[in-house]
Amino acid sequence: MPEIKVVDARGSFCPGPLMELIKGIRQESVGTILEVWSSDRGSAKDIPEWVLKAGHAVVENREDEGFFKIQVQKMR
Amino acid sequence: MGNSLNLMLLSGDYAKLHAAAMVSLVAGSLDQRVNIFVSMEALPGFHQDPQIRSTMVKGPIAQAIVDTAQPDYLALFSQAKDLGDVRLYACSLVADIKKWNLTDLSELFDDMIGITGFLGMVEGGTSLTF
Repeated sequence: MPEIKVVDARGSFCPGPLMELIKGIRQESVGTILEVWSSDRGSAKDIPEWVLKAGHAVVENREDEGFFKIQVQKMR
Repeated sequence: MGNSLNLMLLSGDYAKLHAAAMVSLVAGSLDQRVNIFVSMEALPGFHQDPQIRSTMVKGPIAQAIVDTAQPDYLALFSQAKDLGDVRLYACSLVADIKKWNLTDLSELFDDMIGITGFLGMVEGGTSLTF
């Protein structure tokens, strides 16, 4: 299981959490898993949509402790 | 150019500029070429002078966006250009009328052109007006 890198975007409004993910994913190597923490409700649906279109993979998407945790694996 | 997203920004409504910036940001991040023509009441929103930019009309939602310290539309367009192939063009008609040069406007602009030049450039693709 690869290391999971947390992107803490809690408190940021749309499209802030997605932007944090994009910045993070560009710096990582293929196979890395990033977990975005977001208090923005739209992110739970927006981020998976972007991830699929961008050719990456959603590993997990859950609400936990009052915020969303979306795990994304860099695929290319 | 067939898959490009082409935006015409014509309104002086702050919320429309913010929405256009968000659209540009996401489309650019997905490797879609984005061409943006800024004209009419929207162009003052891209002036270097903050007092001229402040003439943008803010409804209650736009004011709430400003009050929550969100990145403004200029910062979002800047991020969009960093992430993807996003190009902004200032309308030469409005610039001529206002006697503005490209240097009077935001550094976001790639060029100053007329509507004919823009339409020739963006043949095909999806076009939206804000």
